[in-house]
Amino acid sequence: MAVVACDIYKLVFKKENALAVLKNIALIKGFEPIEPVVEAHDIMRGVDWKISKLRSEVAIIEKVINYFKDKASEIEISPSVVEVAINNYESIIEKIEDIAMQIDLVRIDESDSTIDSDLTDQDNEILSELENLKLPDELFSGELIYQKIIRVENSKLDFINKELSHISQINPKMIERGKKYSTIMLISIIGEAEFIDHFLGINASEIEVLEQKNFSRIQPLTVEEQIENQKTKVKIPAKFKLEQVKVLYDVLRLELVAYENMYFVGEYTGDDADIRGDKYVEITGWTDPDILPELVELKKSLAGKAELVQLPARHRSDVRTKMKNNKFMRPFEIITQFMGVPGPNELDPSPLLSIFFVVFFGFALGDAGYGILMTAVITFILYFKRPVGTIREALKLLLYCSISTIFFGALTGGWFGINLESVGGTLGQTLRDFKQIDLQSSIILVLGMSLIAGFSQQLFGVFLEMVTYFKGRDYVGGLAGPGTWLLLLLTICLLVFDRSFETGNFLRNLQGEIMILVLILFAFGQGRKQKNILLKPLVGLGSLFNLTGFLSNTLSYARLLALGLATGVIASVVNLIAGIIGGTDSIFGIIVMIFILVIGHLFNIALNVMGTFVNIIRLQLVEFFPRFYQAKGQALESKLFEPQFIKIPQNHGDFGAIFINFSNLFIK
Amino acid sequence: MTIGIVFATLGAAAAIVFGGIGSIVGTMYAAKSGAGVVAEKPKAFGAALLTSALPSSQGIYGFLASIIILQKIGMISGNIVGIDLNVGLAIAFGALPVAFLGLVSGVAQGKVIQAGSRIMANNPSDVGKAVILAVLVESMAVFGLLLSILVINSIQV
Repeated sequence: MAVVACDIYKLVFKKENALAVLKNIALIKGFEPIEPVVEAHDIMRGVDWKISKLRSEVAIIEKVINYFKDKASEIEISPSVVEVAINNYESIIEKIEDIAMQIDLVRIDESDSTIDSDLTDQDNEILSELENLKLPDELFSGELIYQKIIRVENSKLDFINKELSHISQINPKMIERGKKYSTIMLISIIGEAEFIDHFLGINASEIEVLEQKNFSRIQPLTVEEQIENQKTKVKIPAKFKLEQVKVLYDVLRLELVAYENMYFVGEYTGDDADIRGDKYVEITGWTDPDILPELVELKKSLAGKAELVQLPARHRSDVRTKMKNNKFMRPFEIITQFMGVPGPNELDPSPLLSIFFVVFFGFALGDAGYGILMTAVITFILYFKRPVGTIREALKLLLYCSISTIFFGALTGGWFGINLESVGGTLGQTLRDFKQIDLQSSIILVLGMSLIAGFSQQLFGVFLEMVTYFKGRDYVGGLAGPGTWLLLLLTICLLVFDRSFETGNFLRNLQGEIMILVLILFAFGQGRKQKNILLKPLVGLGSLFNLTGFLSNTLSYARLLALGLATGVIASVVNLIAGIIGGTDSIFGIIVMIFILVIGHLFNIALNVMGTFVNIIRLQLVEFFPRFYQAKGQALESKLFEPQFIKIPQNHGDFGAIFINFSNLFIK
Repeated sequence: MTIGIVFATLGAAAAIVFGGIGSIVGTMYAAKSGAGVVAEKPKAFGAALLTSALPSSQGIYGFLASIIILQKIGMISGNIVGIDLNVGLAIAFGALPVAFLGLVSGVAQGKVIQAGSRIMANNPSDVGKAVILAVLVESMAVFGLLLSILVINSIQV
């Protein structure tokens, strides 16, 4: 439970290492570059062009990968894998561009409803004639027929026929015999077309070719078939695998991020005479203290006189911060982030709201059946699907809330909206034994519990406000400001408690005196900033108006009861509808009933989990936080490369070395 | 069933209907402007979700008041009590603060959030400021709920 303030570090390195350094920085989560003091103009030469080229290539590869709908996979990379991708860069890009063009063609075809066969009516007539020619069966086994129409002088017809009789692959058919010339059709299957061409080549002096056609003897392809044919042509060439394309895609994206970060590289502005000149440049940025060792490693791996210098940062108003909690509390950072990250001197509210959030959620959703269902589904996803990042943390948060829902649901007898009195046997008895509160008959009691829960959180908020003062070493301010509020509110609670439960005569006899004493302390505490001694108590007492704020905030917690009732009521309505519509003895009736129950309860879970989540977040942000939390921090925003396909090894040093070594082999 | 029950039920219906309308209209204003912000800045979805949910409170308050009335007259337990016209009217009038204040404050809150979405558009992390401004409008609905609960609870049936 801590707020970590980031420092500013400046890394000085040789210009020739710029790309390598930027690639490594793009891999380090926790470094946010700052605009340079003096721009390094010569290093920026050609950067815009390279960025534009890389973006275009990345877009093309993305199109191809998306076309093949290949699932994201984590490819283990090693120097050799990256080397293959980089060395084949030009050829892969060239082929990818071809594939992208073919994909475009397919997409044009798909969007063009007017596409039709390229066969004319005349072609179709010839096709029908072909059908009547009684060609050998094997000729019809081929999908396509190769056909040439030739004209031969009648005097040479015998010679041609004799020659053709030796070539079984060619089927001659007389179309027309004139007085001087005869027209013949030479037909073969497409795979044996070379026999016709060869024959015509040898006898070119005797034969005149009138027409050449490829025909499909089957019906012209439909639009869908043509598109499908086109699609089959779109293939990743066998010479390289899609995996290589994916590696190249991520490598190019890394390259792109590195070039985009080039704008943050500036001329060296330090005082070191040894490295002053035009050979060294620098990059400055907010640095997460946790990644400092990686920056140190990077500096060590660089040739020349590289430097890593810490610059003063704490005086700045834009200090980058991050929350640092253990793995159990980390999910609650999501809620804090709705408001913004804490400033360096603020409390991190994530662990402070954790108990309230989980309890309120369970109380407001209040159905143990739903809780068990949610716990099972979330546990399955967490352990089998293994999501990462924010999704994982959000699921963990929901898991805590689900467990709490089971507990509070069992206490209030919420089990899928079922009336527990109608459940017989040991199970029914056990569930009834767990039930301690009946929501619907104890509405005022539960409303009171909601308000007490809200008031407790309000009190805790005032206490945290006091702690914030103490953290800033303003002890007097803390005691006089929120301290006197706390005293007043606790005194009111104590007196109300004493009045309600008659705990003894001591407080009762002194309640007037206690109240006056507390009010005097409150008045002077709240009015302490007034210079006029007479105005101090008046201004202080005027602060009592803020009690309406406490009242209003506390009443807002009444929504806990309303949300809890809503879940139970909707669940029982679903059961009622299912019973009425599907409550027959027929199989159909049972199926309909199960359908209504499943859909109805899933809808109720989705609706109420969403509603409860948003409303409990609201209670934290609107009613709880304003007492002590202003979200003065600024989150660190790394210009980070996030791989889609490759898996970055845990050993960053090794990975960094890969890119340092290959930086100069890359795009020239 | 007595005429008193009819008026009491009318009061319960008024609380949820008017509070609900306030919530619906307010959420519509807030969600529409929130969607505009998210279209430009997808990362602002969390902030937009939060602000869009704010006007739902009025409906919840109305719902709460309705439930308390229904419980008072025994409609939830199924043992409907017999109440005379005066009591029924008193319960119905008791529901009016939360009903009308919920209606007006829900709509007004939606409009405040609509204006506050400019704050989010400039910087989504400043959502807290937009929320605080919007919550000011809700205070009266909360007091309306408080008054309704006090009135309804004090009526003997």
